Amino acid sequence: MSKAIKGVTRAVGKVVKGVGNVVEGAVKGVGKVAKKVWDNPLGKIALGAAGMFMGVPAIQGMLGGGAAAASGASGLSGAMTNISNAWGGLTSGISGSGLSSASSGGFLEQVATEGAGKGLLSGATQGVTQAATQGATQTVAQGSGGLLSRAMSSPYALPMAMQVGGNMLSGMSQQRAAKEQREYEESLSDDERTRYNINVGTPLWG
Amino acid sequence: MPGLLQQGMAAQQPPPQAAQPVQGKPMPQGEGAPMDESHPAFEAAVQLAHTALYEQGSADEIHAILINAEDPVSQMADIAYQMTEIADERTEGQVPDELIILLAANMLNEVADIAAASGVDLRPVDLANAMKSMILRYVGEMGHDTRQLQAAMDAIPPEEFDRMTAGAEPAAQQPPMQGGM
Repeated sequence: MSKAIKGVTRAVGKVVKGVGNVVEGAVKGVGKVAKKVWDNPLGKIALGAAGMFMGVPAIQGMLGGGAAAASGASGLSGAMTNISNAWGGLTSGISGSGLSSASSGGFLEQVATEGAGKGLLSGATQGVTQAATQGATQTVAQGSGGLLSRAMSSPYALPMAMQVGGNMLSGMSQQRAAKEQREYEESLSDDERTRYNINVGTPLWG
Repeated sequence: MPGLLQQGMAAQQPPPQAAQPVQGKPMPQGEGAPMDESHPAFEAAVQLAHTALYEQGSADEIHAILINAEDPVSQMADIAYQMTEIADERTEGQVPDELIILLAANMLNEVADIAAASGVDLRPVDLANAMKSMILRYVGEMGHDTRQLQAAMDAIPPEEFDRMTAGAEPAAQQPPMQGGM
């Protein structure tokens, strides 16, 4: 076995143990495997990047209050479990500051309205750009490290970003489904109109 | 991507716990299912991927691909995307849309682990680029124009991704991972 293959084998050793648990039918084993992504430095970066791309800066400015105070649980699982509470704390505790500025005309609002007017991606893009630049500028000005290093300090930041990202993708799926439905209805309407136009001049009785 | 991975994932009959009760419990559907990594379909998708990678030998195939790749980051993104897609299909699309990106991050993490163990020098920005590529591909396949979104993503300073490692321990064989802060 080559050295590289041995490296792969070593790297996957823990995961194989996890799979063993799964094969034995232990749901806990699956859960442990799933949470590995949060415990792994590479996984954290992948999650962090996803969160950042999907708008974590828009939320980052809100993290000082509600999210941090929501619960003492840590890690991805705990954070995901408490995400509703954290989000509730955010929305009630920061009206008029981070959330409202992040959502007004930006990422969250555009996702919520499913692209009315400008289109979903256009709005989302504006929101991400605006939030990223504003957030980064604010963070640098405060001299408190990087945008995501601060975000990473809260167990709720990334899961919330994932939630927002998931909502965005979910919104896109729904938007696409709605578009397909509209196109289908339009095609029915066109067919009906075509049939009417064909039949309108047809003498029915000789 | 490599057909071998597809074969590995497709070779599992029946799909692990896809659309089946987990430990004798009915798979929660709709609003009743937890919307986190403990969602049964998400767990089944992760298990499917792990079985394919580490029991069906796909990890070795990925290793072989990555060490010979001219652009391993792009390859990683392709492989992780493909894994996500296959896992989603094999679980009959029951992974909620809200969890797809988490599943994608999970898959990328697996591939990155293999890449790191294979000696690929990964920096945080590489992983970020891989994730960006996956998101853009997904959005593009949904029929949207990705140019504006890509521009917004590109506007994020790469240094921010290095800073992410401040609280994370360095991975094996990755000195650049420490240099962010």
